[in-house]
Amino acid sequence: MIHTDYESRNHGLEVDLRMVSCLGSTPVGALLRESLEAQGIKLPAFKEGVAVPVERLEVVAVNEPESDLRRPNSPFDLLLEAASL
Amino acid sequence: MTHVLLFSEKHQQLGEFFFYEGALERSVVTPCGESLCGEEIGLWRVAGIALQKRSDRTLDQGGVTSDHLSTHVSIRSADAAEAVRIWARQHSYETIDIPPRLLPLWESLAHLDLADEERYGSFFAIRHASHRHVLAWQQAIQEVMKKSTYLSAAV
Repeated sequence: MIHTDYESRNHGLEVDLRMVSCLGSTPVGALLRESLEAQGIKLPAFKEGVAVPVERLEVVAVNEPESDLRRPNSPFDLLLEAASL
Repeated sequence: MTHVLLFSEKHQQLGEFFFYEGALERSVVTPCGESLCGEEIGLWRVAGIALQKRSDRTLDQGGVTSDHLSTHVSIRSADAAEAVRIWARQHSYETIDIPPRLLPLWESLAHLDLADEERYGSFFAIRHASHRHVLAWQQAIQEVMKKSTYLSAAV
């Protein structure tokens, strides 16, 4: 079943982090990974090579755990952002 | 102002485009972009952005045939931004729009000594991340920039 872009994005931000499975293939990338993980961001295990292509990413998104269902760039996000300025 | 990044299929950065009300104001091509598509982008100023269009036609004797047509969109047209995105897809390139609020993050990321995949993947993640994740990326990038400066000063 193909889901819309909106539905896919609604199913968790972890999905978008699939694109960073390659983070750590350089020393600077490893530092970035370390810092993100230290802040409690759960990243996919390191895997060398080409990241999941965007089109496939949108389709596999629906199988992700619904850990954080907030839509990116939602009014709530923008409100938070405005408050942090 | 709309700011669009152009990447190859292998996620090498090829260039950046700046649009105002849809029209192309400025383009910057990387050395890699220059060798892959620099010549074609250079021609846009005179010939417009070349797009391939498929037109299906019903035949008198039944059945359908497809004609492939080439159209050109002026870079000064309000449709130029959309035309560049279509052009990129037709060439198997990828584009990512940068919202102004994420521009400083992209600029910092662009300065880090990352592999193409890492840079593309990181910005893709940032582009789609929640506010909480964007803040985490921001902090991570700042930390890494400080460490990189410290390391290069120590060498």
